[in-house]
Amino acid sequence: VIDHHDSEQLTVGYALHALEPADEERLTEPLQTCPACEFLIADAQVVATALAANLVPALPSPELRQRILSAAAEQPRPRLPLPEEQWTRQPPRPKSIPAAESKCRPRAHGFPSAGRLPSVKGRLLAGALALVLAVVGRSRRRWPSPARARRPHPTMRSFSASSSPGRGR
Amino acid sequence: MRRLREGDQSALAELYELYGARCYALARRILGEAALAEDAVQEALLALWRNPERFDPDRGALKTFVLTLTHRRAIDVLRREALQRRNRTAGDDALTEPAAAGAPVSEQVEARLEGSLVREALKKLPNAQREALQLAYYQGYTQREIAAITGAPVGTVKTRMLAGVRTLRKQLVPAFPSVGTGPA
Repeated sequence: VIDHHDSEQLTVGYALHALEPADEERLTEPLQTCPACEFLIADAQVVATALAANLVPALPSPELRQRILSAAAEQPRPRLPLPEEQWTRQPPRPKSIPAAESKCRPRAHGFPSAGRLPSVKGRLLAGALALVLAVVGRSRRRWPSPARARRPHPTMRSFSASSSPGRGR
Repeated sequence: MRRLREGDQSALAELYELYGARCYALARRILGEAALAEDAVQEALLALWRNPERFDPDRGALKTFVLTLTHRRAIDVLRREALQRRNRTAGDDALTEPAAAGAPVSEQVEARLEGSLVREALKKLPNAQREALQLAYYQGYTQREIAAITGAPVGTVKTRMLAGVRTLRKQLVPAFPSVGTGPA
Protein backbone atom coordinates (compact mmCIF):
# COMPACT_ATOMS: atom_id res chain seq x y z
CA VAL A 1 0.00 0.00 0.00
CA ILE A 2 1.37 3.41 -0.89
CA ASP A 3 0.09 6.76 0.14
CA HIS A 4 -0.07 9.76 -2.12
CA HIS A 5 3.07 11.42 -0.86
CA ASP A 6 4.93 8.26 -1.75
CA SER A 7 3.15 7.85 -5.07
CA GLU A 8 3.85 11.45 -6.02
CA GLN A 9 7.57 10.79 -5.59
CA LEU A 10 7.20 7.57 -7.55
CA THR A 11 5.32 9.23 -10.39
CA VAL A 12 8.03 11.86 -10.79
CA GLY A 13 10.65 9.11 -10.89
CA TYR A 14 8.51 7.24 -13.37
CA ALA A 15 8.16 10.28 -15.62
CA LEU A 16 11.94 10.66 -15.60
CA HIS A 17 12.34 6.91 -16.21
CA ALA A 18 14.53 6.80 -13.12
CA LEU A 19 12.78 4.23 -10.95
CA GLU A 20 14.30 1.01 -9.78
CA PRO A 21 12.42 -2.08 -10.96
CA ALA A 22 11.01 -2.64 -7.46
CA ASP A 23 9.55 0.86 -7.38
CA GLU A 24 8.08 0.42 -10.86
CA GLU A 25 6.44 -2.71 -9.54
CA ARG A 26 4.95 -0.79 -6.63
CA LEU A 27 3.50 1.71 -9.04
CA THR A 28 1.96 -0.88 -11.33
CA GLU A 29 -1.33 -1.24 -9.53
CA PRO A 30 -1.92 2.46 -8.76
CA LEU A 31 -1.36 3.12 -12.45
CA GLN A 32 -4.22 0.77 -13.22
CA THR A 33 -6.59 1.81 -10.51
CA CYS A 34 -5.87 5.35 -9.41
CA PRO A 35 -6.89 8.32 -11.57
CA ALA A 36 -4.93 10.61 -9.26
CA CYS A 37 -1.71 8.69 -9.93
CA GLU A 38 -2.50 8.74 -13.63
CA PHE A 39 -2.92 12.50 -13.42
CA LEU A 40 0.37 12.89 -11.56
CA ILE A 41 2.19 10.80 -14.15
CA ALA A 42 0.80 12.85 -17.03
CA ASP A 43 1.63 16.08 -15.24
CA ALA A 44 5.18 15.03 -14.40
CA GLN A 45 5.72 13.82 -17.95
CA VAL A 46 4.80 17.23 -19.31
CA VAL A 47 7.34 18.88 -17.00
CA ALA A 48 9.97 16.25 -17.81
CA THR A 49 9.37 16.72 -21.51
CA ALA A 50 9.95 20.43 -21.10
CA LEU A 51 13.52 19.48 -20.27
CA ALA A 52 13.83 18.29 -23.85
CA ALA A 53 13.10 21.84 -24.96
CA ASN A 54 16.42 22.72 -23.41
CA LEU A 55 18.08 20.98 -26.29
CA VAL A 56 18.35 22.69 -29.63
CA PRO A 57 16.95 20.47 -32.39
CA ALA A 58 19.53 18.54 -34.32
CA LEU A 59 19.17 17.03 -37.72
CA PRO A 60 19.59 13.32 -38.11
CA SER A 61 20.88 11.90 -41.34
CA PRO A 62 18.60 12.47 -44.34
CA GLU A 63 18.18 8.71 -44.67
CA LEU A 64 16.40 8.35 -41.34
CA ARG A 65 13.09 9.69 -42.63
CA GLN A 66 12.99 7.24 -45.50
CA ARG A 67 14.20 4.41 -43.30
CA ILE A 68 11.31 4.98 -40.91
CA LEU A 69 8.75 5.22 -43.70
CA SER A 70 10.08 2.10 -45.40
CA ALA A 71 10.00 0.16 -42.15
CA ALA A 72 6.45 1.37 -41.52
CA ALA A 73 5.37 0.17 -44.95
CA GLU A 74 6.65 -3.30 -44.17
CA GLN A 75 5.06 -3.54 -40.76
CA PRO A 76 1.52 -4.75 -40.39
CA ARG A 77 -0.81 -2.83 -38.15
CA PRO A 78 -2.12 -5.25 -35.52
CA ARG A 79 -5.58 -4.55 -34.24
CA LEU A 80 -4.56 -5.23 -30.68
CA PRO A 81 -1.58 -3.50 -29.05
CA LEU A 82 1.45 -5.59 -28.22
CA PRO A 83 2.51 -5.40 -24.59
CA GLU A 84 6.13 -4.71 -25.46
CA GLU A 85 5.12 -1.69 -27.50
CA GLN A 86 3.47 0.19 -24.68
CA TRP A 87 4.88 3.67 -24.71
CA THR A 88 5.06 4.26 -20.99
CA ARG A 89 4.30 0.81 -19.69
CA GLN A 90 0.96 2.21 -18.59
CA PRO A 91 -1.94 -0.18 -18.85
CA PRO A 92 -5.15 0.94 -20.49
CA ARG A 93 -7.26 3.24 -18.41
CA PRO A 94 -9.76 1.19 -16.39
CA LYS A 95 -13.43 1.80 -17.06
CA SER A 96 -14.56 1.12 -13.55
CA ILE A 97 -12.56 0.67 -10.42
CA PRO A 98 -13.81 -1.14 -7.36
CA ALA A 99 -12.57 0.93 -4.45
CA ALA A 100 -11.68 -2.15 -2.46
CA GLU A 101 -9.23 -3.28 -5.13
CA SER A 102 -7.17 -0.10 -5.12
CA LYS A 103 -4.06 -0.25 -2.96
CA CYS A 104 -3.42 3.45 -3.40
CA ARG A 105 -4.37 5.37 -0.30
CA PRO A 106 -5.34 8.94 -1.14
CA ARG A 107 -4.95 11.87 1.20
CA ALA A 108 -8.13 13.08 2.82
CA HIS A 109 -7.90 16.40 1.00
CA GLY A 110 -6.16 15.13 -2.08
CA PHE A 111 -7.39 13.86 -5.39
CA PRO A 112 -10.67 12.03 -5.80
CA SER A 113 -10.15 8.38 -5.11
CA ALA A 114 -10.78 5.69 -7.64
CA GLY A 115 -14.08 3.94 -7.40
CA ARG A 116 -15.57 6.22 -4.78
CA LEU A 117 -16.81 9.03 -6.92
CA PRO A 118 -18.38 8.46 -10.30
CA SER A 119 -16.91 10.42 -13.14
CA VAL A 120 -18.36 13.82 -14.04
CA LYS A 121 -19.72 12.35 -17.25
CA GLY A 122 -21.30 9.50 -15.34
CA ARG A 123 -22.91 11.82 -12.86
CA LEU A 124 -24.24 14.05 -15.64
CA LEU A 125 -25.67 11.06 -17.50
CA ALA A 126 -27.27 9.68 -14.36
CA GLY A 127 -28.77 13.08 -13.57
CA ALA A 128 -30.06 13.53 -17.09
CA LEU A 129 -31.59 10.06 -17.07
CA ALA A 130 -33.29 10.68 -13.74
CA LEU A 131 -34.66 14.00 -15.04
CA VAL A 132 -36.01 12.39 -18.20
CA LEU A 133 -37.64 9.60 -16.22
CA ALA A 134 -39.19 12.09 -13.82
CA VAL A 135 -40.56 14.24 -16.63
CA VAL A 136 -41.87 11.23 -18.53
CA GLY A 137 -43.45 9.86 -15.39
CA ARG A 138 -45.18 13.14 -14.61
CA SER A 139 -46.34 13.66 -18.16
CA ARG A 140 -47.80 10.17 -18.25
CA ARG A 141 -49.74 10.84 -15.08
CA ARG A 142 -51.02 14.14 -16.43
CA TRP A 143 -51.48 13.43 -20.10
CA PRO A 144 -52.50 9.92 -20.98
CA SER A 145 -51.75 8.87 -24.52
CA PRO A 146 -54.63 9.03 -27.02
CA ALA A 147 -54.80 5.23 -27.08
CA ARG A 148 -55.06 5.13 -23.30
CA ALA A 149 -57.59 7.93 -23.32
CA ARG A 150 -59.79 6.05 -25.73
CA ARG A 151 -59.56 2.86 -23.72
CA PRO A 152 -61.14 3.19 -20.31
CA HIS A 153 -59.43 1.81 -17.26
CA PRO A 154 -60.65 -1.74 -16.51
CA THR A 155 -62.43 -0.64 -13.37
CA MET A 156 -64.12 2.13 -15.31
CA ARG A 157 -65.18 -0.33 -18.01
CA SER A 158 -66.78 -2.61 -15.45
CA PHE A 159 -68.43 0.34 -13.80
CA SER A 160 -69.74 1.64 -17.12
CA ALA A 161 -71.00 -1.77 -18.15
CA SER A 162 -72.96 -2.23 -14.98
CA SER A 163 -74.33 1.25 -14.55
CA SER A 164 -74.87 2.56 -17.98
CA PRO A 165 -78.55 2.84 -18.58
CA GLY A 166 -79.82 1.07 -21.64
CA ARG A 167 -76.71 -1.07 -22.17
CA GLY A 168 -77.23 -4.82 -22.35
CA ARG A 169 -80.73 -4.48 -23.18
CA MET B 1 -3.76 11.24 -35.27
CA ARG B 2 -6.86 10.14 -37.10
CA ARG B 3 -4.83 9.63 -40.29
CA LEU B 4 -2.17 7.80 -38.34
CA ARG B 5 -4.80 5.48 -36.90
CA GLU B 6 -6.01 4.82 -40.42
CA GLY B 7 -2.53 3.79 -41.50
CA ASP B 8 -1.82 6.89 -43.58
CA GLN B 9 1.94 6.98 -44.07
CA SER B 10 1.89 10.66 -44.92
CA ALA B 11 0.74 11.26 -41.34
CA LEU B 12 3.81 9.46 -40.09
CA ALA B 13 5.97 11.57 -42.39
CA GLU B 14 4.27 14.68 -41.03
CA LEU B 15 4.89 13.53 -37.49
CA TYR B 16 8.54 13.07 -38.33
CA GLU B 17 8.76 16.56 -39.82
CA LEU B 18 7.18 18.03 -36.70
CA TYR B 19 9.07 16.23 -33.98
CA GLY B 20 11.86 14.25 -35.60
CA ALA B 21 14.55 16.84 -34.95
CA ARG B 22 13.58 17.27 -31.31
CA CYS B 23 13.37 13.55 -30.74
CA TYR B 24 16.75 13.08 -32.36
CA ALA B 25 18.31 15.90 -30.32
CA LEU B 26 17.01 14.29 -27.14
CA ALA B 27 18.16 10.80 -28.10
CA ARG B 28 21.52 12.16 -29.22
CA ARG B 29 21.96 13.99 -25.92
CA ILE B 30 21.24 10.81 -24.00
CA LEU B 31 23.09 8.32 -26.16
CA GLY B 32 25.90 10.40 -27.56
CA GLU B 33 26.16 8.39 -30.76
CA ALA B 34 24.29 9.41 -33.86
CA ALA B 35 23.53 5.88 -35.02
CA LEU B 36 22.10 4.81 -31.67
CA ALA B 37 20.09 8.02 -31.46
CA GLU B 38 18.59 7.42 -34.88
CA ASP B 39 17.70 3.87 -33.88
CA ALA B 40 15.94 5.16 -30.79
CA VAL B 41 13.93 7.69 -32.81
CA GLN B 42 13.04 5.04 -35.35
CA GLU B 43 11.92 2.61 -32.66
CA ALA B 44 9.83 5.27 -30.95
CA LEU B 45 8.02 6.42 -34.08
CA LEU B 46 7.46 2.90 -35.31
CA ALA B 47 6.04 1.92 -31.94
CA LEU B 48 3.51 4.70 -32.35
CA TRP B 49 2.87 3.63 -35.93
CA ARG B 50 2.16 0.06 -34.88
CA ASN B 51 -0.04 1.05 -31.96
CA PRO B 52 -1.47 4.52 -32.48
CA GLU B 53 -4.22 3.75 -29.98
CA ARG B 54 -1.57 4.02 -27.29
CA PHE B 55 -1.79 7.76 -27.64
CA ASP B 56 -4.62 9.05 -25.51
CA PRO B 57 -5.23 12.78 -26.04
CA ASP B 58 -6.85 12.91 -22.61
CA ARG B 59 -3.46 12.17 -21.10
CA GLY B 60 -1.52 14.91 -22.78
CA ALA B 61 -0.27 16.44 -25.99
CA LEU B 62 1.11 14.44 -28.89
CA LYS B 63 4.44 16.22 -28.54
CA THR B 64 4.73 15.08 -24.93
CA PHE B 65 3.78 11.57 -25.96
CA VAL B 66 6.36 11.32 -28.74
CA LEU B 67 9.16 12.83 -26.68
CA THR B 68 8.33 10.61 -23.71
CA LEU B 69 8.40 7.61 -25.98
CA THR B 70 11.75 8.63 -27.42
CA HIS B 71 13.17 9.35 -23.99
CA ARG B 72 12.23 5.94 -22.67
CA ARG B 73 13.56 4.21 -25.75
CA ALA B 74 16.84 6.08 -25.54
CA ILE B 75 17.27 5.34 -21.84
CA ASP B 76 16.47 1.69 -22.44
CA VAL B 77 19.09 1.55 -25.18
CA LEU B 78 21.56 3.32 -22.92
CA ARG B 79 21.07 0.83 -20.12
CA ARG B 80 21.07 -2.10 -22.48
CA GLU B 81 24.21 -1.11 -24.23
CA ALA B 82 25.93 -0.09 -21.01
CA LEU B 83 27.69 2.77 -22.71
CA GLN B 84 30.49 4.66 -21.11
CA ARG B 85 28.15 7.14 -19.54
CA ARG B 86 29.60 6.58 -16.11
CA ASN B 87 32.64 8.50 -17.22
CA ARG B 88 30.53 11.53 -17.85
CA THR B 89 29.68 13.94 -15.11
CA ALA B 90 26.51 15.78 -14.40
CA GLY B 91 27.95 19.09 -15.47
CA ASP B 92 25.99 21.94 -16.90
CA ASP B 93 26.74 21.01 -20.49
CA ALA B 94 23.04 20.42 -21.05
CA LEU B 95 22.49 24.08 -20.32
CA THR B 96 24.66 25.15 -23.20
CA GLU B 97 23.78 22.76 -25.97
CA PRO B 98 25.03 24.27 -29.22
CA ALA B 99 22.68 25.04 -32.05
CA ALA B 100 22.41 22.34 -34.69
CA ALA B 101 23.43 23.43 -38.09
CA GLY B 102 20.89 22.58 -40.71
CA ALA B 103 17.83 22.30 -38.47
CA PRO B 104 14.75 24.08 -39.83
CA VAL B 105 14.85 27.79 -38.97
CA SER B 106 11.38 27.82 -37.42
CA GLU B 107 12.36 24.83 -35.30
CA GLN B 108 15.54 26.56 -34.21
CA VAL B 109 13.73 29.77 -33.28
CA GLU B 110 11.02 28.00 -31.33
CA ALA B 111 13.52 25.74 -29.67
CA ARG B 112 15.72 28.67 -28.72
CA LEU B 113 12.80 30.43 -27.08
CA GLU B 114 11.63 27.39 -25.21
CA GLY B 115 15.16 26.34 -24.46
CA SER B 116 16.11 29.67 -22.96
CA LEU B 117 13.05 29.57 -20.68
CA VAL B 118 13.81 26.07 -19.53
CA ARG B 119 17.48 26.95 -19.07
CA GLU B 120 16.54 29.90 -16.89
CA ALA B 121 14.15 27.75 -14.90
CA LEU B 122 16.82 25.11 -14.41
CA LYS B 123 19.38 27.69 -13.33
CA LYS B 124 17.04 28.87 -10.59
CA LEU B 125 16.80 25.42 -9.08
CA PRO B 126 19.02 24.55 -6.14
CA ASN B 127 22.11 22.74 -7.41
CA ALA B 128 21.17 19.43 -5.81
CA GLN B 129 17.72 19.42 -7.43
CA ARG B 130 19.06 20.39 -10.82
CA GLU B 131 21.76 17.77 -10.62
CA ALA B 132 19.26 15.04 -9.72
CA LEU B 133 16.96 15.96 -12.62
CA GLN B 134 19.78 16.19 -15.13
CA LEU B 135 21.36 12.92 -14.08
CA ALA B 136 18.01 11.21 -14.47
CA TYR B 137 16.60 12.83 -17.58
CA TYR B 138 19.68 13.42 -19.72
CA GLN B 139 21.90 10.60 -18.53
CA GLY B 140 19.47 7.88 -17.61
CA TYR B 141 20.58 7.21 -14.06
CA THR B 142 18.12 5.63 -11.68
CA GLN B 143 17.34 7.18 -8.32
CA ARG B 144 19.55 4.66 -6.55
CA GLU B 145 22.44 5.33 -8.94
CA ILE B 146 22.04 9.07 -8.41
CA ALA B 147 22.16 8.48 -4.67
CA ALA B 148 25.44 6.60 -5.12
CA ILE B 149 26.88 9.33 -7.33
CA THR B 150 25.89 12.24 -5.12
CA GLY B 151 26.34 10.54 -1.77
CA ALA B 152 22.80 11.39 -0.71
CA PRO B 153 20.27 8.87 0.62
CA VAL B 154 17.81 7.52 -1.96
CA GLY B 155 14.94 9.18 -0.10
CA THR B 156 16.69 12.51 -0.40
CA VAL B 157 17.16 12.01 -4.13
CA LYS B 158 13.45 11.28 -4.51
CA THR B 159 12.57 14.37 -2.53
CA ARG B 160 14.93 16.51 -4.60
CA MET B 161 13.42 15.25 -7.84
CA LEU B 162 9.89 15.91 -6.64
CA ALA B 163 10.79 19.39 -5.43
CA GLY B 164 12.62 20.15 -8.66
CA VAL B 165 9.70 19.09 -10.83
CA ARG B 166 7.28 21.10 -8.69
CA THR B 167 9.44 24.20 -8.98
CA LEU B 168 9.88 23.77 -12.72
CA ARG B 169 6.14 23.33 -13.13
CA LYS B 170 5.50 26.64 -11.38
CA GLN B 171 8.09 28.47 -13.43
CA LEU B 172 7.14 26.98 -16.76
CA VAL B 173 3.38 27.36 -16.56
CA PRO B 174 3.38 30.78 -18.30
CA ALA B 175 5.58 29.53 -21.15
CA PHE B 176 4.14 26.06 -21.55
CA PRO B 177 0.38 26.22 -21.16
CA SER B 178 0.14 22.45 -20.97
CA VAL B 179 2.50 22.33 -17.99
CA GLY B 180 0.74 22.06 -14.68
CA THR B 181 -2.67 21.38 -16.10
CA GLY B 182 -2.22 17.66 -16.37
CA PRO B 183 -4.20 15.76 -18.92
CA ALA B 184 -6.74 17.76 -20.84
